[in-house]
Amino acid sequence: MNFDRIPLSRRNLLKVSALGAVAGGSLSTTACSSNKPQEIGIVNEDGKRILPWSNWSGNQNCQPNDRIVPRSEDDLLKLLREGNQKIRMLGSGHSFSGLVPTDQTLVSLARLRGIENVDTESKQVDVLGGTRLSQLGKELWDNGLSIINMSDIDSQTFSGAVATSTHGTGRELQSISGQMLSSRFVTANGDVVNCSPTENSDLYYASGNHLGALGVMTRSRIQTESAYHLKEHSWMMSEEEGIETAAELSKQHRHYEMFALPHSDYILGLTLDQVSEDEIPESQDENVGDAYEAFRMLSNVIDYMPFARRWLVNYGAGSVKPETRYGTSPEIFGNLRDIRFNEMEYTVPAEYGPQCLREILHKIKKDNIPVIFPIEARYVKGDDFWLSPFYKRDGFAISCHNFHDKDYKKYFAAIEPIFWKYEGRPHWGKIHSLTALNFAGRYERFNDFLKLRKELDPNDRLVNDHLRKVLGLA
Amino acid sequence: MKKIIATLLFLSAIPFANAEDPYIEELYDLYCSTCHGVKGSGAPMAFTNDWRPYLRKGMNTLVNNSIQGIGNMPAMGTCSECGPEDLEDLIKYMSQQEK
Repeated sequence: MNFDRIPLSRRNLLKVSALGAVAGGSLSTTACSSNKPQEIGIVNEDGKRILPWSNWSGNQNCQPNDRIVPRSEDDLLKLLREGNQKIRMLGSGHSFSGLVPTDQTLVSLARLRGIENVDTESKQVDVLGGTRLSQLGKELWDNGLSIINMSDIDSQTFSGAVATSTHGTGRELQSISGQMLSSRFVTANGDVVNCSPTENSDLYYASGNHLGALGVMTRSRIQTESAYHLKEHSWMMSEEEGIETAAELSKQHRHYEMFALPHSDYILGLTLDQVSEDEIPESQDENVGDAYEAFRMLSNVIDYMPFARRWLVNYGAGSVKPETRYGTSPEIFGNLRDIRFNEMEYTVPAEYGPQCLREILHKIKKDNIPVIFPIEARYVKGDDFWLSPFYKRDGFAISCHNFHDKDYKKYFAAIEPIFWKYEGRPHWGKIHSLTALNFAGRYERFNDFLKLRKELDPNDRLVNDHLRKVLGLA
Repeated sequence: MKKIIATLLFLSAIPFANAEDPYIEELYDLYCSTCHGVKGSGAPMAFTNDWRPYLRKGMNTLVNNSIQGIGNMPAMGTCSECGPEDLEDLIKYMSQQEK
């Protein structure tokens, strides 16, 4: 969820001047802290201070007894061969589900980052597992290349993104995993295994949504494109028009996504299309939106005046003007500002997507669910990765959020059954309530994944409590 | 007036991180600049006097806040390779008023 994509201006909202004063007062207190200085973390038996871990939104936490940042693949091999602790890998902490927490060793691939073996002829490069997607975009650009598609938040590590089928939008474009030609894993026993569609193909097809359960993915070779520029266009339309035109617009543009505003009568449409450098105007309109501040302010105002929710959201949405911007692919895909939130995302079959979104928006209004955070809806092309939400079917991913410091559980619990009704598959890194029994019915290769995992990690060194639950391990 | 002098003395006593340290600069570019390098993000802007009121809280408080996350800042600023010393160096680096 990238707020910068929504050109909503706080200045317009502040025209409701009396409310602005209330909101301003609320906002001004958010940076205060009464924390007293103290040493955070533990000192482990080696005398090393170990910091606690928390994910990006703060809904997942743990206190490991060791944290390791290998400086090379050899360091990682040594750790796995000589150690006996349980291990979980962390990427950039962008998963809202419990994939990372452990009370034993937490491993970061942050020092294994960057791209290597660039082949500008075939447009293929090696990406080290700890490379941030934002860094990947920039380094590719420096080599005359662009990533085929990108998630709207680009701070994830490459290996972490592949672990959970992280995706952008585009009816003909697959998730980040779909750009992967081959990969290398260091297994729990300290073996190195390469995989591709023609070498260890089972591991390859399991690796596209590996959950950090098959080993440590240290590098991948990916397909890219020649460097390209993008034109982004966004506009507000009625909710009904947004629902009705979604499928058609997704066919007309390289990327199409929607931001539905709960309790409003509006949906924001956003398209991205490749353009040549010659098509970029010399001067561009500056982005006038400060959507982060605007939504935060709206949310605070609504806390005081819940009865005015619909009017306020419609007032804000009605102030949004069409906006167009141009730039290099890393500039347009990139996401500079952010706001913390918690998220549930399900992918339903593409053909059911708009109807499912309509039902969710109706449910929120009918039950007066206290949320204004935009719902993001994206098309993603199907793939062949065993546990991918897009496995063997084109998908429509619907992402529901709430601010990180607001309750999300009741909201998500109310809408999750709607996703089930439409054969939804949850994002593995986001919040859901499914267990192994549910997954077995949703993924025909689920048991094959379990069998392969057991072969690669017979002593369950890479398993934590969450994986036990979602994979049904004893 | 005494408070102002005391504050100025306190601020001048903070040893700034070596701006030439390429590792700290790399960490800043990778993890911090996303918010601390962008106007309007809500985070104190690097290399400006935005930091003055924060520095008054004391370095231990600032490091602890960055470890745990505060407001819109995620824990560790998502820098999983950072130790407490790196976080302190990053705060000193960003709180330089000129670079």
